[in-house]
Amino acid sequence: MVAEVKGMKTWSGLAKNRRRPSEYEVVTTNLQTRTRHPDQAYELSPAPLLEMNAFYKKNVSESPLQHPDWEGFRDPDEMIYRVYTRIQDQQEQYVDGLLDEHDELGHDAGLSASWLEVLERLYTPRRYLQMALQMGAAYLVQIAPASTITACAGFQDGDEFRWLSRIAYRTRELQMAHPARGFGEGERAHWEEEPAWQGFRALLEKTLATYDWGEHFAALNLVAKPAADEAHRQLGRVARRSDDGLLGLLADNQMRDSERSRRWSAALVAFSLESEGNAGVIRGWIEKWMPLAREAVGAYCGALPEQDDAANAAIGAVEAFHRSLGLDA
Amino acid sequence: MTTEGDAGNLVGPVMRAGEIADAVLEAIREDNEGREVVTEAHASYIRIKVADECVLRYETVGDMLGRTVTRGDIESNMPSFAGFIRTEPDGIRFVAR
Amino acid sequence: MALLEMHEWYDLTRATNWTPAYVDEEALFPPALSDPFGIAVEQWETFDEPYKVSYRDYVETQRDKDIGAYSVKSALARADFFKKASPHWKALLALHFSPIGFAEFHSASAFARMTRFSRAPGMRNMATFGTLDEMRHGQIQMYFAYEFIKHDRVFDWAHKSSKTENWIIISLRHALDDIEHTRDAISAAIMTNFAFEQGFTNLQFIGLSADAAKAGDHTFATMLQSIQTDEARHAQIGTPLISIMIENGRKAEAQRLVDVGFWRIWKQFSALSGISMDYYTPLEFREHSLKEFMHEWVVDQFARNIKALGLDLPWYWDYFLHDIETFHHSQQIGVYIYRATEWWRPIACVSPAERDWLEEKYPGWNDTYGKCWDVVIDNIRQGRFERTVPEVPPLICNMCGLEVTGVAGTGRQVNGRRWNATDFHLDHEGRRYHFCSEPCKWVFELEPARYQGHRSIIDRVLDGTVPPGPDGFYEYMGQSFEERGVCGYDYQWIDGYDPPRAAAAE
Ligand SMILES: [Fe+2]
Ligand SMILES: [Fe+2]
Repeated sequence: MVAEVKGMKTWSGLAKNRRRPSEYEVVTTNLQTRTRHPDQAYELSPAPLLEMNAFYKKNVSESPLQHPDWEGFRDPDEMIYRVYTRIQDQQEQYVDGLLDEHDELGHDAGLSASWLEVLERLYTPRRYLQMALQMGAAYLVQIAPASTITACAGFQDGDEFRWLSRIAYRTRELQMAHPARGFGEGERAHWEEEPAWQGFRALLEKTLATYDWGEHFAALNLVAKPAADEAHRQLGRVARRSDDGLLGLLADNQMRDSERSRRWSAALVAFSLESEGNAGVIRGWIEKWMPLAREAVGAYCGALPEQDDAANAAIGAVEAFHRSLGLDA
Repeated sequence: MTTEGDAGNLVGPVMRAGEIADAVLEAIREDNEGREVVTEAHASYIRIKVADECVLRYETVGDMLGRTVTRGDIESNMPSFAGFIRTEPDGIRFVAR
Repeated sequence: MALLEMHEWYDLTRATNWTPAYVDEEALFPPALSDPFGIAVEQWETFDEPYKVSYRDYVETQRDKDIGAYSVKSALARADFFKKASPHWKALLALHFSPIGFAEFHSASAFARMTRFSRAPGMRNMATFGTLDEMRHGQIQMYFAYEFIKHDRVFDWAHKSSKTENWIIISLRHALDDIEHTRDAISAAIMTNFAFEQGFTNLQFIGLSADAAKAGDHTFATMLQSIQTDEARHAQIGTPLISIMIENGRKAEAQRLVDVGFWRIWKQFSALSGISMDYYTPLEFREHSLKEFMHEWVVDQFARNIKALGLDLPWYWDYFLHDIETFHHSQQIGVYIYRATEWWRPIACVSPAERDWLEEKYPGWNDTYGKCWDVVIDNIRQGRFERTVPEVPPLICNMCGLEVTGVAGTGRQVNGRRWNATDFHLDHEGRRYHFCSEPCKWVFELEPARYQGHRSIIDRVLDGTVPPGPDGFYEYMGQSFEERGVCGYDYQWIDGYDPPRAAAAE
């Protein structure tokens, strides 16, 4: 004799769904513990006694961005870990192939002096920008009020490190091909001093110092990251015209990740629009952050050679993304 | 029974039982020649230990298996290790400090 | 291939610190989240990750790991295994899967704190893998728990427990939130990566995998070890931090972080792994006792690292060695007799043969814990099942959230059990706090503000947070009538399981 054992169809938390839950929903939903009590995100002294509980309360429970059930959010890509590693392994294999092939063709030796100077100033210092984007995504991971949001941000965190790593790789290759130049040495100085980067540096530093979860999401994922990535797309375009087909292809590949970020970000905006008042809040944040983004893109794209309107193209793409969000009153 | 932190500074990998574990043991014997290699088999894992320092080279493991062995192949089969780890381009060193 | 080797370019991935110009350094790295120790950024930049992996290598290795871990057996074969598994193994699986899915997923956030707020670039990158790893651990364990739900509703708790106020879940969240989620990046990393992950995860994820392999549960055994291969890597974040702390005159602080983290997590593993290994694992599949596994993984392997890094063993070490042999035995009695407050089907696991094993592994067990069980057994034999359930709620520790017990057999009688329990208590700002042990009390006294506002499940009963009435307590804990634990063997274990003999009902 053993005690009676009964089964059930699916998680009770997903039982109200009409369709059968996908693997994504089964393994990603309801894994958050921070949203049970507004004063006590963490199972210790409530706010204000415990600083972190006060921090979470201020930046999430009292954020202007509110939804009664953030756990209801779903990633349109339904990305799960075992799919993420498979997809990104394929993409990295592709990038390995590109690098190998271009190396065999002596690609870097054939780059012109004027283009090498552009790479030194406007490409390899991007690893600092990638670091900032990575840190921003990591903030979303730890502050987001639902495990389905945490998961999206976690993969984005990984993606940013992916491109930080590939830029580091390319920096080293360029350094080996052109040891007399400043590759691998001068990036920090360019990031900190080169006028073309200062707009992005200001935008990212200010985004990182924004702790309200909703505003951080809007500043990073609706403005700073799309702007930074669109500027990179423009670099890729110019690269092609400067016989640097490799950078063009790498930038294209990076945009795949960027677009996934935009898909879940748009879905999160759409989800938050279920609650009244959020449209105005998000619109307000976009309006607040876009001037910094315009300045950043303007300064960066303005420094690209033969850029014929790269800045407008980049900002246009960011604005088109905003128009797609359904925020217009 | 052991007393705390007093296992004679034996260091080395804990491998999931299987062919990689067997190859790692053989490789460690070869790459740490002249030094005693202690093993301790459990139902699902095996401890491989060498005093003070234990060298594991991917190529030697590959030689034992007759195929290329990467860092990832080792990691996937190494749920733990004793001592401290130092990853190097061609292998792993486990050290007591 | 003419691809560069990782070591040729890797250093550039960790030359990523810059000096902020558009916001204050403190706004970007608030000390309370980043570094309250005031160590110079150049010092943090010396952080050299002992276990280096590139992103390219990471996604490939991790893809392969998942292919291996997900495909050990078909879903059908696993379902079949589960249906045939004994109440022992089902209880073990339930105890493992219910709290661990959300806890692991939650850890992704702890690593993200490191990526965002650490001043050590190499640490930020390693922690990014840590975030991804912990998402993996959450998801793979939710996946395997889900396969059982069709057969056993107990596994619903893998999904629902995260948000319940069940006392066991409160206890776990309290410990994890304390060490992983509510401190600065450095403190959380030393506590999480060193004290918790290097210290204890091996126990549950490798030790238990040996039992699982013996039990023929190869899917579970493989999954556990596969998870642990990630832990072995990302847990290495802790060691360079301790060295940097010591080199910069912060040894005492590092020591304290280790001592607090180690104790808090030991209490959790004592209950989780202790009950799993010494009770829920069927006798014939037991590789070692908890005590033996603790000596292998912690008292030897981990303590050695503490000393090699230049720290001392925690001040409570002698008491800890004593606790290894006692605490989980008391907890197992509590977990069984308060079974209605748990969602799975707890089992006693003290049949005659199992008692012999316990006596062999823990000499003196029969004279202490065995005596408590004698009372339970006697009540079952007399058909007085209601007497196997205590009338009054237990005393709960205001730190670890587990029952205040002690060593059984002597001293004061509580609920039919005799404990030599010392009530460690503290009067602080107008109320009395109870603790199970000196270290739990010590942790509280170090930072009272961190803990004093938290109410244990018993505090909540007394202050009216828990609704009154016979069902109020269970409903508060998220347990409908069907979700209240009953004896997994329907009391028919007292004379052994094979052949099963009815007890008083005969
Ligand atoms: Fe984990
Ligand atoms: Fe971990």
